[in-house]
Amino acid sequence: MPRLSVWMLRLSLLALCAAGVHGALLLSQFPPALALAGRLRAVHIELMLFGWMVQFVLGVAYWILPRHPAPPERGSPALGWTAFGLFQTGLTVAVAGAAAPSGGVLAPAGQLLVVAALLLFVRLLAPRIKPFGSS
Amino acid sequence: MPPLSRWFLKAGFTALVLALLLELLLARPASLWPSLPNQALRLGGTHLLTVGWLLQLMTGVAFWMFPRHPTRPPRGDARLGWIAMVLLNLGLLLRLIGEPWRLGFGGPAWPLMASALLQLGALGLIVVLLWPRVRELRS
Repeated sequence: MPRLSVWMLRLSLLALCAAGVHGALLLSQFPPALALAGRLRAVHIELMLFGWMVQFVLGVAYWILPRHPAPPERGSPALGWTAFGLFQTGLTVAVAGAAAPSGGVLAPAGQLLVVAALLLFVRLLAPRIKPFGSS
Repeated sequence: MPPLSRWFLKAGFTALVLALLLELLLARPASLWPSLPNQALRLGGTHLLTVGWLLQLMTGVAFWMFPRHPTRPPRGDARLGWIAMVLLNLGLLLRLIGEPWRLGFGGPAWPLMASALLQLGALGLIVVLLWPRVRELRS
């Protein structure tokens, strides 16, 4: 498993834990949590959808999709790490925006960075969607 | 495919079917069972899709395909996975019963608290099971 996938999968597992704690607080009807339900829900959704699911799927795809016949076998590492950095920055900003009492521009700015990162991942992974063994 | 993965996948697809049935229930005519709380059904359906289907599908495939340990047992302690699967599905079931009960008929909060604890415990075990298998492999 390449290093980029290791980082993405480990961070996705951490996001799953964090999202689970937020979700459990909401579901448990714990009164202090109910007072913050709107913000908890927004953070829960952000972490569960992008931090866990999207990141896990992309991490596995980078590892397991058919490789190029010539190096770099998994596409440009620089592009991969740039997309990774952009994704983590965007997710952090979006979660901070969702958690803040008045998120202002933080949440949309973070989501914009996440979208940019996803486009880079598409650029990186799309050429590897091909039959095994083909160039 | 190891038995734990097969059961995670089968439980996941069962949850998918249940989620689709809940969606059908949400699309019922307004005069049919008007006291059923749609908000609880919608939340239940969403969680059947995301936790019941996707999480179990991803866990099952990851347990099957992630790099194996060089020492035995190669996929880690499967008992953790079995316990996680039981906790997760019990938690989901409690939620499916407890949320409509609470939101529609003023039921108690304890089923939801228990559901939260069961699902959180399951997530913890899944992370403990998979974490050591996320590692670099020289190809």
